[in-house]
Amino acid sequence: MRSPVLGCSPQRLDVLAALPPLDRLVRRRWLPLAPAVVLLALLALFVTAGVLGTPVGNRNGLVVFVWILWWFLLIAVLLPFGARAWCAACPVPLLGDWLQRRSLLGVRSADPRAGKDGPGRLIGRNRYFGLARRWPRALSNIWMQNLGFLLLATFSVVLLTNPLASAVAVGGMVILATAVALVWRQRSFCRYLCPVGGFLGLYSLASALEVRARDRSVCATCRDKGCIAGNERAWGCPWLEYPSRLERNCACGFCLECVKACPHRNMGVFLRPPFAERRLAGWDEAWKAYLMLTLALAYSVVYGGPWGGLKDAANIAESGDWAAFGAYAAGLWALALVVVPGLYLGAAWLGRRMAAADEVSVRQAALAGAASLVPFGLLVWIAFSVPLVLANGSYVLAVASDPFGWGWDLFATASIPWTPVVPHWTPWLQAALVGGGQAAGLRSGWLESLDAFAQRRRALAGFAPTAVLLTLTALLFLRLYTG
Amino acid sequence: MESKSQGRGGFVLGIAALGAAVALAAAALPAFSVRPPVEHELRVTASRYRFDPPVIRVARGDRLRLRLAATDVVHGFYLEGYDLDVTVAPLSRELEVRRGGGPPERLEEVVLVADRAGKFRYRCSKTCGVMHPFMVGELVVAPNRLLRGATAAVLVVLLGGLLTVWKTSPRGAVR
Amino acid sequence: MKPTHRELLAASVVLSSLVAPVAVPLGVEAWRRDARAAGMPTITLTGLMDQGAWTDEEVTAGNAWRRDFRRARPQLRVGGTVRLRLASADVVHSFAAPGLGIDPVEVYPGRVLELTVTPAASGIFEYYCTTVCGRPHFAMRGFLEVFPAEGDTLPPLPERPGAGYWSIPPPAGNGTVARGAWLYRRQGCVTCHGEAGAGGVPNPNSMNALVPNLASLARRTFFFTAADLGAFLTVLERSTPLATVKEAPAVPLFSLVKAQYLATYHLVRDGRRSSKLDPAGHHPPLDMPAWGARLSDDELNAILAYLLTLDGGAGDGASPPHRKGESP
Repeated sequence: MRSPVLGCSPQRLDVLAALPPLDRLVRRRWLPLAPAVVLLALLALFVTAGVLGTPVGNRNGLVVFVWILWWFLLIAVLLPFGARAWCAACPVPLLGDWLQRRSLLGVRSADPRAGKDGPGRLIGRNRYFGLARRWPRALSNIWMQNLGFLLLATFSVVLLTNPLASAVAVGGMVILATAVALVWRQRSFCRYLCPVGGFLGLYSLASALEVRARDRSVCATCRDKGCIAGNERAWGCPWLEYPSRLERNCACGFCLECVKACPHRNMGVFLRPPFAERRLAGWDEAWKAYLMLTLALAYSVVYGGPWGGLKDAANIAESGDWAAFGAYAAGLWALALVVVPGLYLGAAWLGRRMAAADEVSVRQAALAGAASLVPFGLLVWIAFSVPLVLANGSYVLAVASDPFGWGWDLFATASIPWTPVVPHWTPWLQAALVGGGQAAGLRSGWLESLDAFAQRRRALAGFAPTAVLLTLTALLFLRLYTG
Repeated sequence: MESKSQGRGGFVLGIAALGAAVALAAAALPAFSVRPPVEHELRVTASRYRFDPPVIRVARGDRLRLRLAATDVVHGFYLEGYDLDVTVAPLSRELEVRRGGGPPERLEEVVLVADRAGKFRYRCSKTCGVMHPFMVGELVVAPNRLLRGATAAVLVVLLGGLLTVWKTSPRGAVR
Repeated sequence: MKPTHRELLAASVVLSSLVAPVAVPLGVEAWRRDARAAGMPTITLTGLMDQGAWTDEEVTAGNAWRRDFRRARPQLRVGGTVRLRLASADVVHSFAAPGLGIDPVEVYPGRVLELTVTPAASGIFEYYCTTVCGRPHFAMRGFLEVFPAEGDTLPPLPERPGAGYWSIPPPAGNGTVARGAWLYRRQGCVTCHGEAGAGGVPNPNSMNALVPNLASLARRTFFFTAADLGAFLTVLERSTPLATVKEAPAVPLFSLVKAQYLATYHLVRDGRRSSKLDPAGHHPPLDMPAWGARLSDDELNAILAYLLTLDGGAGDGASPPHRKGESP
């Protein structure tokens, strides 16, 4: 028997209550718009650098600032400590939001009973420009994001090393997000299409921050329901969630509209222990967990490993060898879609057999097992990202002075030579992260198995094969990183 | 319920402590066979985007005489943890070797003593193309305490965890 | 402020955050370029490894895929100071123009190096890349034209051998001499030593003034007839390394031949830095590379075998008899 899903973990700190100045700040309409605009300016700058700047990747602002600095800050700082906070300030959907809302700071609201009193579609109490269609039910999951991320990952070498390719990808995302915003409602792009959003959503389960209702009994008697319907203070949740009932971090983009909307000041931002949320909602999320694990492994091997043949095979833009690239892509897809999921599904199936638990479906057992891959996957991705900054972080300092490679020297740092920073600490940091990930993964998987299987002994039997498989995976990463 | 979860917390701490102890012990173990230092003469070839050999395995105290060569463009050889940076030009027998903060020397081979154990990557330090930041090789100097210790810790966490759960799971117990 | 004013302000901030990061850097760079050009004429050369050329066209992330950049042919005037900006689009290059007093300077990718040069004499001067930067490296040369103070006429640009040498397809068959001929071209030897070893490419301030002619190599290695050479090549193919062969009755003066051959072999294998004719002058731009770092012993021997067959291989002008299995 499964215990009821709790909306919030018992140990949590009400951040807004603890910091009243912050509470006042987040109600301003120009937050999180202001950081988003700054990031939009940076996006425009770096995309320009990606087209008109130097073709040398490690001296081009787009490559260095996005794939070294932004990536590391996202995976190692923002995601573990801020969940999907990036999404609040992300510049990609900014233009789409503006077109939909026809306002940057204001809120277009209307009483639904007053009938049509202006152009635009009415959703709740807010008026939106555009078709504002509902996202198709069949695609209301993260499968599109899984596919998109795998596609990008297949061509990741081209993306990471070629400024023009990165510029096209980033610019393409802005154009796509804006186009989607004109057809589908609110942040459908962010929730169902954005490749970055796919893994941000999954790993935000493990993060230390959440947006939740403070007291659900207040919501029960609320007549305004501004958090989802919108009101004159704020737009209804753009992420198509019902904030009062928000229980999972996955689809909450931290835009804090609900905090602004709630007339009872009942929405809060909470600090909580890491790895507090464990439940995976469906196969799409389980496959995302498998996919991210596979890619962490693949990237650690291709980028971090010493095997040049793989790098050549993946580097299709320079090698022109489509046969080798095809083999590499096929191998990657087989690993991501068949081998890794197969192993973890097999472990779940075996556990279920060992537990002799027929009333627990394979799906339940598999999702419980895949839950262990959320903390493990996140920490392993951070481990992969450590050498990017330790070895190559100095590029950020140098390129800051000359983002286009035109011979500028804005901050007198353009001549800083490539300087690795304590690079020999890398294996130690990686080992600690892999070890921590394994421990946290075992804990998450065990607690989920406890929920799925009725009895402790059966949960132990049910989880044991996955626990062993997870440990073997951890040993594989340890061997790669430290052996 | 209270005491049970406190008890479980205690078990978790116990496992963590045990894991740390075993990890330290494994790491501190000397190499099983202590042998006299060996001198290795190695030809290391740099090309876009790999080093050949990709992995060099030696024991602590061994002397390495590296004859570095580049096949196509100018590459660098930066060895983490040893503060060694060599510039290798193709079609030349001379290497430009920089050690510590010292001035560059022109040598035909690089001699170093592997006095630090562990894993040290060597990276290309002269931009040689698009995949330059990922051009890397590995020098593994035994005994690899970190690998041993981490492996032991990970196994202890698994076994300790399974054991703890087993011990705290009387028949028929729910949650 | 009324909401509409705030909204207008916000809108203008957003629009400028889209436009300014594009317009401002471009504007600043345009202004910098104008300022540079107004001060003194400026030539920007970018090194390209795939084409083996210094180009004066602009190379950006958006057009770097092109393989048809114009090879630079800078035009200067005597007494006119010019700013030279050097950049690289890919790997480490070195720019040298001894005729203008520019010693080799390393040009790192993504960075820009600035030099000023005031030509003292008119004429046609060659510029080089002096750091091996890939297969097409030896083609990475071109000409600077320095016009006299009065007048606009200069002699025509000289031709240099071996255009597009790196893309020559391998030979059919497996004959040593044919393979050597192919390697001689493919590795770029032809760009300095000329077609059929004719030499004659200038190497400013070097002892020999010109890159050595190799066609007389056979004579210098004590081969006087084609038959002698053929016999030696057979010995070479049968037992390598040559240093271990004590005697070969079929080859006259074998000990002399062997010593001379090995000396040439070591020169090719280990390379040699060119010596300066005038010690106070600039370093000769062309050095003999250490081919042993890239080529195997067999390949080195094949090249030498080919060189020995040049000029008939002996005074009698006849080429050595073709051996069985070897294609001509």
